[in-house]
Amino acid sequence: MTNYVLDLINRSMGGGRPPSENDVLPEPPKNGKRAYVDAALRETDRPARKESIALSGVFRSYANSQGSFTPALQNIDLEIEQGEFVCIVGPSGCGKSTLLHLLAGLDRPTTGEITVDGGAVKGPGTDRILLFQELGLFPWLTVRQNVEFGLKMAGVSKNERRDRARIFLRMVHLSHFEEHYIHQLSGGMKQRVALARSLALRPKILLMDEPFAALDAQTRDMLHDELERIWKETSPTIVFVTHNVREAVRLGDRVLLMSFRPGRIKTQFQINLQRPRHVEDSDVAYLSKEILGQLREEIDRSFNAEYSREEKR
Amino acid sequence: MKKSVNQLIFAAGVLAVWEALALAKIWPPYLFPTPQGVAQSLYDGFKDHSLWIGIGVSLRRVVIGYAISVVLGILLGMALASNKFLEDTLGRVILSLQSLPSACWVPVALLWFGLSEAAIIFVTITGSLLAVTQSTKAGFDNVPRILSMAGRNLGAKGPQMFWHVLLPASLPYLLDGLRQGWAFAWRSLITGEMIYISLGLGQLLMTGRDLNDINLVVAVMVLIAFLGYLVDSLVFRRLDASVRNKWGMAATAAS
Repeated sequence: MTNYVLDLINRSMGGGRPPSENDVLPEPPKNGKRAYVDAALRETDRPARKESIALSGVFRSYANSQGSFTPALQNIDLEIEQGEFVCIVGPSGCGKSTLLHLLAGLDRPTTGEITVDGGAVKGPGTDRILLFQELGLFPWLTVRQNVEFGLKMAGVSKNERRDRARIFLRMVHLSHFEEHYIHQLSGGMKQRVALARSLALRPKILLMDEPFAALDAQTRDMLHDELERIWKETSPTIVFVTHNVREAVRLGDRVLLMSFRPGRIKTQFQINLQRPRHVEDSDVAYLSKEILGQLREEIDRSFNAEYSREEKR
Repeated sequence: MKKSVNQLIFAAGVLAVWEALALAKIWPPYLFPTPQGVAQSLYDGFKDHSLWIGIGVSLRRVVIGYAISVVLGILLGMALASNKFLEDTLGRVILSLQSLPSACWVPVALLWFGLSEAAIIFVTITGSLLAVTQSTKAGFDNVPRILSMAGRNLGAKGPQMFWHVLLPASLPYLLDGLRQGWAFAWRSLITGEMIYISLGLGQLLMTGRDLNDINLVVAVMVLIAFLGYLVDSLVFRRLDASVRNKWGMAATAAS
């Protein structure tokens, strides 16, 4: 069964080995889901979209305490289309966050090139907004002032700032909390403020670094729905980093699996399941299982690397 | 409510012990002040305006000196925080200068500025400048990296980063330094005012000494302490409370 699905995934990616007669045809998944999954992974006639982000031969390494260099990202070649929702999964320490920081222009690649809409990324820009895992909300500002921050930096007039902040606060259902300070909000609310603050700048590209990792399952489900809705309404390109495979399958048009240090893109999965999806959907679960199998290998590698390092001490 | 009752009981207790000690005449009355004597000195001083003039003159000086310290201290602190070379060189010098009491600067002030207003203000600045500098540096050093990254990410550049991210983010530290700087400015001012006939509260202290009037000396001391406390609770404690409130930090024991 595993081979069968992987084969389907590979075929849908245009790669992999051709099916042979020796292939044992698997049992169909329970609940008669096979046809659905089959359809989900089939190449569909998606309209060709314009390329938004391109990385070619990107390396990033950091000097470590021993005076040598630890490679964080190795040879990343990647193209992301305009309006595409790409999810990146991988074990801790695979360079997922580094990749987002590079895209945001907050960090530079050691070698290689990153272009956005054809122009090289030279630093931070408000066309690419990164939603940090730690949020980075400003505690001295109210919720509304936080959402207005980027607009204020861009020189937008006070009234327009206010109006636009209100639109996005309504979008994330926080209209009643405009004048609250950050510490007065719950975790999920803070998350939504950060989302509204990012969206208020109407970025063409939204980079999200494990944004929902610290939330409880109910809040996360709700924010998945909201994010999907907002994505449909404002159609930014989204690069979404997570360690939660189900979340990735729930949200992404495409899921990239990264390998443990140095981070490389190990496999790509095109997710053609119909939207709206749900984390509990059995076809989401089914695909997740396949991706998780491969992710486990990387997690094992990361554990082994940690243990061997400890033994050396 | 309970707090103010406690404070009242404490004040009454102190006065009672003080009065008892004065009545016991353990020390000669020209060395040991009495509550009545101090109260009389305060009354006389306010009545003949000498205390009012002292307060006015001293406040003006401390405000000028403190304002200069704040501006210079913040600039210096920022420079130290942003430049490794300055931190390793000037930063060390500043740390060692901090152990000099402001009295050490009085001879320098006299040589440079003579018996003048500038000399007194100079001494005031030596007291508070370094406290403000150190706390500004600490504040900027401790701005969480995530906040400055968020600022850059959202399009803040150059001076915008300073005014809208770094300065407000370092405010909790900065405020501590401003508060401490104020207290130090007061202390140094009094030292500076003892130099010559300066009309300030410091000079009134010396007048008390010259006239062998222990009650006047204590009266002026009480007044200085009270003024310092008043400004601290009217200005700094309120600012502190408002910052803590916004940031959601626990209230200090003092407020």
